Amino acid sequence: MLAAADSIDDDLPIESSSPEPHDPIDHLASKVADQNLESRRLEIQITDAVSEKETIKFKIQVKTDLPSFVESRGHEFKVERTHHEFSWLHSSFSENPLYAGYLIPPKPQKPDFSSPSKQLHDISEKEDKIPKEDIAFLKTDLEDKYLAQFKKAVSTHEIFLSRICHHKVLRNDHDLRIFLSFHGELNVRSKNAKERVTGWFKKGELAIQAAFNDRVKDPDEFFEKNRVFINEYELRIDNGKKKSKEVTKEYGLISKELMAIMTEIKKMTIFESRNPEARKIALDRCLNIVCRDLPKVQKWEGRMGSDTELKLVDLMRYYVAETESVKELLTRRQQSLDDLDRKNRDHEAAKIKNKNVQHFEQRKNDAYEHKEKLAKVGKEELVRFEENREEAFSKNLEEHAALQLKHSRQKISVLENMMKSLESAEGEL
Amino acid sequence: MADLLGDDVFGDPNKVNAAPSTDTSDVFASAVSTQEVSTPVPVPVPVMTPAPAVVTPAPAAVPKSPPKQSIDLFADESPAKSAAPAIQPSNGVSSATSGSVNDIKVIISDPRKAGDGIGAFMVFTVKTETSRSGWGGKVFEVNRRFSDFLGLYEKLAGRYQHKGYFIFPAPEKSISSFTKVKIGNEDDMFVQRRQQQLQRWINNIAKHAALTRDIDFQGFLTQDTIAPATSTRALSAAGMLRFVGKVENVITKQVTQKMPETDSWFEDRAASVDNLQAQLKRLSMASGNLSVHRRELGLSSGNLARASNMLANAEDKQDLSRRLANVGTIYENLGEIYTDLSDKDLYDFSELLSDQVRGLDGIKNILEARQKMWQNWQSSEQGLMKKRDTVTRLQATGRTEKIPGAELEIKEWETKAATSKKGFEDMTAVAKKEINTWETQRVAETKMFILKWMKHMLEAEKKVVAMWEKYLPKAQNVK
Repeated sequence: MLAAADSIDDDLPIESSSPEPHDPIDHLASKVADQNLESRRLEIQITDAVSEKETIKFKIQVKTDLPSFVESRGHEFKVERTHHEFSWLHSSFSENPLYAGYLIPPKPQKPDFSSPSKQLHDISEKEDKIPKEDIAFLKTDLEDKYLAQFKKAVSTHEIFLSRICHHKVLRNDHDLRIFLSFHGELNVRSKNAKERVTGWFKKGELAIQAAFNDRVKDPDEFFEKNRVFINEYELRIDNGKKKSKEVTKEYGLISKELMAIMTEIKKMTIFESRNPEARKIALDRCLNIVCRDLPKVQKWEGRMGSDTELKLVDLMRYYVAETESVKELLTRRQQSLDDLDRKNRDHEAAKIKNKNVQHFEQRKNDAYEHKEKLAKVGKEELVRFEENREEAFSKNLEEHAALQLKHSRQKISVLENMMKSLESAEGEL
Repeated sequence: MADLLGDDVFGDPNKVNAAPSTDTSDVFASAVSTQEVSTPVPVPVPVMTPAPAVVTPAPAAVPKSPPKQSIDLFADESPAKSAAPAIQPSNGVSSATSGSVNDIKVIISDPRKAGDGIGAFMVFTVKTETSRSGWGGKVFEVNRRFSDFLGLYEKLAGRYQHKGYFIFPAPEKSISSFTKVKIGNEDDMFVQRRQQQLQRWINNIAKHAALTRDIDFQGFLTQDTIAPATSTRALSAAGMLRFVGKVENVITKQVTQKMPETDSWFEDRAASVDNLQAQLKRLSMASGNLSVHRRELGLSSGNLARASNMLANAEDKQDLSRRLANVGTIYENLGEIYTDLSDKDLYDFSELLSDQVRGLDGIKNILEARQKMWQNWQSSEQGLMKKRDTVTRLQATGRTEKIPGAELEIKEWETKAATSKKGFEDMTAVAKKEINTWETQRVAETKMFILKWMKHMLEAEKKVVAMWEKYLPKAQNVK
């Protein structure tokens, strides 16, 4: 799917990505066994993101001492990639049979600017009808929304790329190398219809298989424990995602309603400023103070919502996706067991008939090798999955708490100032 | 209100005989000596000399009861007795204008369903505490149903509205409230709101000096059984007519002669009432919505707490499990904080705004009643003119034997015209005072609940901060 571009570096070795005749996982494992490679680092960071037409362009900074990168680009370099190119990279991994035993990090979500876009459109249409201060406020609110989406997009893409770069096997991938070090655009084309449909079928197959496997016990204690765990976890993490989404939604609604209230109070201010009774007790001044400061309160309320989305909802969403990957991994494991079973029986049958025994024995041995390797890699992946999960949750929960605390304190500060002004507002005599 | 006034404006055959007017003026002055307006913010009460008009309601206040009882009621108002703890010392004449009392407190509780099926209705316990002497006790407890409250309102409005008094309108019956009572149960949010509305309403009436002297008002709070107010029950023919009655009023307003407004004060008032009412309605709705969203946030926080606890249980690793459980605890507590704030948004902000919207209806009622009074006056003047014409005609045609009779009629109509004119002028003076009082109270109330709204928000947020501060040291320690 990668179109050959003109300025491709000549000394970049182009490897064929077709599977080797004998166990491909073996081949990769041996590459990695080179201690040197494993201890080298490959770090990425998304330093900036620019919105362009329908998509976002991410500026990625790479720091590494992996020889394959250093040769072509040096120890530190930058590259720009669109969401589309990230999407291509993910497909490249997830559809690569070489990586059957591995947990591929979930694809980052496509950045969604439809809601702030619509809002911008609405504002520009009514621009002349809305008073100046309201326009200023609406624009800040819009900026906030764009900012939230940006943060989200940067976060999800960074996590995805980072996971791959820290995976001892995946980071040596050829496509990844091109993704990170190639200067120009990748010109990746989207999947055509046939490829998409084939993709769905494959997924469907795995899903059906997974449904059967739900009830089949795994002979291996480690895998069995994980199987039981993941079946239960799947429900709970999905539940967690849904409930945290609801919380986020309500923060948003509260935020909106505070704005509606402010609009009404504003009208009342005008009314009461003409009312001598109201002026006597400074009601008009109080209403004015509320109008002036309520948007600030609303801002922090909104932030509490958008940060809940960033830290909790996205976290859960990621793990819903990872859980699916784990299930697929376990399914493939089961498939390897079933395959071995079949090849065993074929071998036994051949021995009885004494026909082509060598051939079936070879097949059985290959199936056994494959199952063993898959099991070994799978175990490592599952351990990694648990470690990553613990780390991700810890980090995000702490950051979530820190952010909520910060916003809450800001809100209190605004409210306290408001109360002071309100209580000291003097009426006209 | 149109049908309640009828032709006989005063409805009191005893009116002309009311001799004790001079006595009652003294009693009146002391009766309204209680300055306290029941708002926490001290409000400068407009100082006006008591209009002579305040004398008239005294005897008319008890049209159907024997004079003895009216004297008893008035005898209540000796300065010593009416001094409830929170009341400021009377200032003599100048304080007579506030017309507010603070010696009756009503608490409504214990809503329960009575009857069944289509005849089901809600009953409340109404407990009254008072320091008035003429009531035969200090504490009363009775049972009342919703239509009883409406019945009391109708009676008070019927008797006092045309005198210019402001009678705070009662919460309304509506199709939705009707079904909710028949089908719903006592725990409903709706029932809670009803109860609070009625409590605020009755206490509002209880602050109005003149209205508290009404015999039916006293009966409502003190007597075990009162005459059923069938005309206000939704399922009665009269009840149905009331739904329709609103439409009728609008039509009659347009058909009859429009009063040319000579008083710019009233003109301003009439113009601004609708505008203000619309604004208050919108604000009430927006704050009601805020309350609903806060409640939803409370509920969804609780759900998130449970989800987080479930995740905590799934995890083997102690640290992670504990972190997730802590998050669960926090969101559970947040849920409680938000739900509590939601209630405050509702009862201390949104509902008070709805009350004000209804209050403006009361103001509209006074303005309408004043129009009616003017029309009555005009029609009696016209009647008088016709009678005079009759005499002139009789004289012209030489039918002198009819003249004495006709002249007697002229005398009658002259009295009628004079009294209806006086009625209109008196009523105008009272109305002005009442409307001013209400307006002063409204702005004071508004300021108070705006401040309270902010205060509640601040207090809730402080609790939220405390929650997150508890979590963070834990999160860092576990590492």
